[in-house]
Amino acid sequence: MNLNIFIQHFFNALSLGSLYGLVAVGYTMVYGILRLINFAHGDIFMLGAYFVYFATIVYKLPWVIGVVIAIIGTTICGLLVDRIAYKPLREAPRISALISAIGVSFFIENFAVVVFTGMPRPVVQPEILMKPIEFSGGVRLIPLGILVPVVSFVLVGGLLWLLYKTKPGLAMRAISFDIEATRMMGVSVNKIIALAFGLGSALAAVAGIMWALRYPRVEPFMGMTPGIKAFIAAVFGGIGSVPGAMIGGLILGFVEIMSVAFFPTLSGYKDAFAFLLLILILLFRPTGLLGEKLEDKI
Amino acid sequence: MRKILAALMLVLMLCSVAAADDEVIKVGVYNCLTGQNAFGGQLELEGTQLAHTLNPEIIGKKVELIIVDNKSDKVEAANAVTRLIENDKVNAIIGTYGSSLAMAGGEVAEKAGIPVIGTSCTNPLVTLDKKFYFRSCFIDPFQGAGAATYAFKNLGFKRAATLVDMSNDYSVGLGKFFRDSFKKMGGEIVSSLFYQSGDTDFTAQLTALIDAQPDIVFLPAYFAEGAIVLKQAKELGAKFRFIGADAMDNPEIVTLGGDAVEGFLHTTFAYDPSMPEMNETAKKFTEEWNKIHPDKAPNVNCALGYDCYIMLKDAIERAGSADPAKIRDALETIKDLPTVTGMTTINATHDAEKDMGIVEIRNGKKTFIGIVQPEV
Amino acid sequence: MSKIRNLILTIAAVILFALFLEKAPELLNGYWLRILNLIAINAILALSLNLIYGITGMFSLGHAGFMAIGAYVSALLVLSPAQKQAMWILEDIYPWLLNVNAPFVISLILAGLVAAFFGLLVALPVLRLGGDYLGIATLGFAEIIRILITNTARLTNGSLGLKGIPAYTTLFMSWSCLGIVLLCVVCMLRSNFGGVLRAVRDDEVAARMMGINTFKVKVIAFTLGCFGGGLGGALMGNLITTIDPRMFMITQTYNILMIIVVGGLGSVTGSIIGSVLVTTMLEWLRFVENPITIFNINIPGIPGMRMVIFSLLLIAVIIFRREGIMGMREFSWNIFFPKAKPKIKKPREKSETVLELKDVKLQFGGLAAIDNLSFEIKRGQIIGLIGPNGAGKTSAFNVISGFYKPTSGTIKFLGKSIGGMRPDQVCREGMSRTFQNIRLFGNQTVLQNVMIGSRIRQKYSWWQTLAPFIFTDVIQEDAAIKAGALDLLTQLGLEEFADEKASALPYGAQRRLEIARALATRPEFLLLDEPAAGMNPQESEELMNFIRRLRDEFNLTILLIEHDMKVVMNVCDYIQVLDQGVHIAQGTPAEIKANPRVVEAYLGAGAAEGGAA
Repeated sequence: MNLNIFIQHFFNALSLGSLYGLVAVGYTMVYGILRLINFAHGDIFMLGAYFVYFATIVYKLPWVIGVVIAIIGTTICGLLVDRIAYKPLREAPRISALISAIGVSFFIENFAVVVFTGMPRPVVQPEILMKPIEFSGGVRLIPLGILVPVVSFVLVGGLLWLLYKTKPGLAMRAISFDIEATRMMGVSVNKIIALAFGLGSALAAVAGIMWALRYPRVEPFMGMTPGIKAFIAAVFGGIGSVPGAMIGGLILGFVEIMSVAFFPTLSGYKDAFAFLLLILILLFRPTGLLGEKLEDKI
Repeated sequence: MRKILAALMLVLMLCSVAAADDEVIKVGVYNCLTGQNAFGGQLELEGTQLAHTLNPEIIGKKVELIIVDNKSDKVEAANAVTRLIENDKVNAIIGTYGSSLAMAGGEVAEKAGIPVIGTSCTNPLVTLDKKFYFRSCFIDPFQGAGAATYAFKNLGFKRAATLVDMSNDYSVGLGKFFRDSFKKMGGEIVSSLFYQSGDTDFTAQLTALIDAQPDIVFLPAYFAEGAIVLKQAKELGAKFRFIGADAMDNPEIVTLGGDAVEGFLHTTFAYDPSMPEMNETAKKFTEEWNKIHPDKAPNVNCALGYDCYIMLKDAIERAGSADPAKIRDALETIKDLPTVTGMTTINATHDAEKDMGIVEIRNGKKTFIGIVQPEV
Repeated sequence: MSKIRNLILTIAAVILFALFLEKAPELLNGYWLRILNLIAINAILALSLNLIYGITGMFSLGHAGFMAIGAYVSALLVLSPAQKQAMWILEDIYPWLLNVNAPFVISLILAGLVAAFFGLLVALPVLRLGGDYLGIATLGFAEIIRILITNTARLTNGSLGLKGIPAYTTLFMSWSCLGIVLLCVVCMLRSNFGGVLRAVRDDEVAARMMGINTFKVKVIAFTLGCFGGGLGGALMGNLITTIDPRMFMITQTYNILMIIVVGGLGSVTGSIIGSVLVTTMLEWLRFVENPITIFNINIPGIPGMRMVIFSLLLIAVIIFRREGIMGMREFSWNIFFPKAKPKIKKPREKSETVLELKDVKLQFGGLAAIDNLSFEIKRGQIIGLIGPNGAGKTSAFNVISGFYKPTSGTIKFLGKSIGGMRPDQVCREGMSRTFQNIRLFGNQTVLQNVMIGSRIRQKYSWWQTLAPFIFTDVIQEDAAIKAGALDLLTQLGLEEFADEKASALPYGAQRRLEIARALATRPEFLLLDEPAAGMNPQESEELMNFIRRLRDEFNLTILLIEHDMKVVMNVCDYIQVLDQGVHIAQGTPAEIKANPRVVEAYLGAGAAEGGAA
């Protein structure tokens, strides 16, 4: 492999990794606050992509408007999911909410099959984002490949600002620490959780849009694989940690791309490498790279 | 909430009681209407339904289609066939997209002695040792060899590579048969790469392929994945050409892939709405399809779904009876039956022997460019 | 009496059901027979996952992987050489594999064993993880297994899968497998070892203090569960007669998880009911996808509608009945009969220095929680350990009882060095403790709580509990332990609560139960962490008498942490005082009362009188 090919692989990995990171941030956001693995996150992500499809292809709206509609629409869907399927279970054991999440996931997927049919649909890619920039030595980048990491990093930055510099952010962190004590402090816990959930869904929407742009095809099950991958990415980084999710996503992206780059004959084992690394990381750091240490309270 | 649910369930339960009729030929259809393979299964079902609408009666008896979804899942496929046989007492069955599903359903039908005609289950194992399973499609080794022949002989390419979905038996099989046959003809396989169903990012594999510099890459993918592969190849500036197989044959490939699919080749069954010379059956099928689905062009899946019904009709007519055993015997002797995808003959292993077509995407349109005779 | 009655009823029910299965092929069509088979297989899978998750509390998402292993092992063993030869069309099969063959029953056992072996391999590293991390790690292993199966085509035929597997899974096979699994699981859960499993789920910390090596227990439960997964997978493969790697995706695990949650996590009965319901429901709902006619209006079938309705029902079940159908309860014939009361029986046990701490230091990072602590405790003493908040009292308890490893220094218990031992090992040396925030096994009865404490004195092994009718010492030992436990409850005045759930007890009784459970390990030395917390003056008065009685009746030496100075000064023979990790004073209650450093530590410099109330 010459250097140019390696550089090409590097950019490929950066683009894929930051996409994983973007999906993972939404996961980690909800987990950090509710301690709920939102298995439906990948499906909410799928809804985001469908909104874009409908806005741009079916109703032929301009891209920007399509994106705004998708974010708003997906956030509303996310809030509805929370209101109907998770809120009644706030006080219940965590497994109940988890099963409810699996139920929601099944529901959204199959509802999409019923309404949208199983046929994959195309997505319009704006011309400007697709025009390749050629570098010497044959390395090619499309503007979209750069946009994805940029959007991801900006969103993560914004999220960190929100969590650490604003009042609602403080309230969210307080809830993740001790929900009862936060309630006592006069914080409207339900509103803050709804906000967190809305935020998580909006992030899923952005990720869904980016994903649909990068891999321009929407179908009812498109959220399944990214959902599981992002979940792994979030755990890599230490679930609950926002920067951790981004780092986890990048690690996953690099492992997947580089394993194929360096061991092409083993490309069939690509996903196994990712899982193996995950387990190894967990063995040495049981709560992920940036996860908080859990002490047994005795 | 709970009361409404209970009431709903009750209503649904009352409605599920169906009527029975003796003077009816019952044809079961099990296909992937939901799940991963829904895109193919739905098209095939529509083809079968069209054939049924056009031929609602065979040997003077009304034909009833009983449709069951197999959810693209093996356990469900076996359940679906059991249900068709045991509950609905069908005389024959049509289905399904996906060889692994056909294998699951095939075991059940075999034991019950009900004939099944497979739509597009192309794996050789489907009909292996099966007395009651037939299919309207040719099989993977034939098609892999076809693609290799076209690449080596017609296009004159010497260096080829394969990009295969490791978790898909169809893709793995075709890839292997392509490589074997390409090497046998004297070509070189410069790279053999894999991915997994559900992957959307192929940049790593494509970059590695660019590094290996093949003339042509064989891509036995499903069209939804294939279109994305082609798009990414274009983004990365890949210079080599791609050739695929029948699973790439879907009108949506152009909508999904845009200009990235220009010049893409694939082998398929000898039917395409763009064909200059169609046989009578194909003409009639195309016309009638366009009447019902004015906004959707038919593809081979629709045609194969249609053909299965035609084959079944032929068998019942020649048997003069809807008795499953007699239908089976008649299916075995189908010879030069005009179907949408050309003349169909059932061979000793119950596979359809028919022509193989080559399609190229030209100016954003699927263009049927001829028939290929696979060597080896 | 009721035992014999229940046994007769059970046998009668089993015979009736066996007769039904015998006649089923004539009564039911193949479709329903298949569903009956699936119910049994799903029930085996649900029971095995329930053992891992519901009973022992390990969140595992890897069941599909172990099913895959089982299915492949069995299939490769029962397929004939000719079939294998014909099937490996892409790669050549390993020659040694071609002629490997075994009868179906042997293949089932091997399927379970190989799955269990892989389960053990997975368990040893990952069971150290907790909660969701364990979930994701097990999910990862299942995926790795699937990818390996896909890629090792010479062994497994890769993505082509295997077909033509002989349909050996008959009703008789699947239901007798379920019968055996059910019998083993029920026996195990009814034995004291079952109590231990639940104790690990309810409170791992407390379980360790009961002398239980919780890691070992978890590994056992996980491995057994994997055996069940492999067995279920093998039966499934031989029912469907064809398998491929894509059958064993995460959704397969979700399905089983759904069954156990709908039925009730931790309930064996629930798993059975859950599999009946979920399996039949999924099939029955098929009609919504067929065209239907309501009041002469034709509604075309809508593909996908079935799963939409099913997922809505699932969400509804979780929201309106989150504990599932059975909760943690089990079916018992007793629900048809009025309740009978159990009876009671008697208890007892016996060097000079019990505990010796020398220069014990415990550091967290740069912070010394305990700094050079040294003291001795003589047999039969009641010692108080006091100090203001953050003085390091509980840390000292945790070091002595094995939860923390001392950074330096030696701890000798009955002349033996115990520094660095695990809590369960310390417990076996004859030490037990209670916790500041009560840690009972809340979902179990008072009697069971105490019996778990007695587990360390039982000689039988966990595997014998799978078949107590053969290893009758399980039954005898459990009976003896039960009698002992009832005795202990009587002595502590808890006998009236014996069959109540521990979490349902009033606060004071919970404190006493925690002590009873500690006593069940037959300790010579007991650590009590704030026994008077939350008690009113009258209750703490009673507590003082109770602690003295404990020492006398059970020949105990007691170390207690307490903030209530009245209790400390009245009951303790000798007092040790800590402040910010430093041992600042020791002496008799009178000496401590007069010690200015102690007063200063409690009330700040300048205060005159000591003794807070």
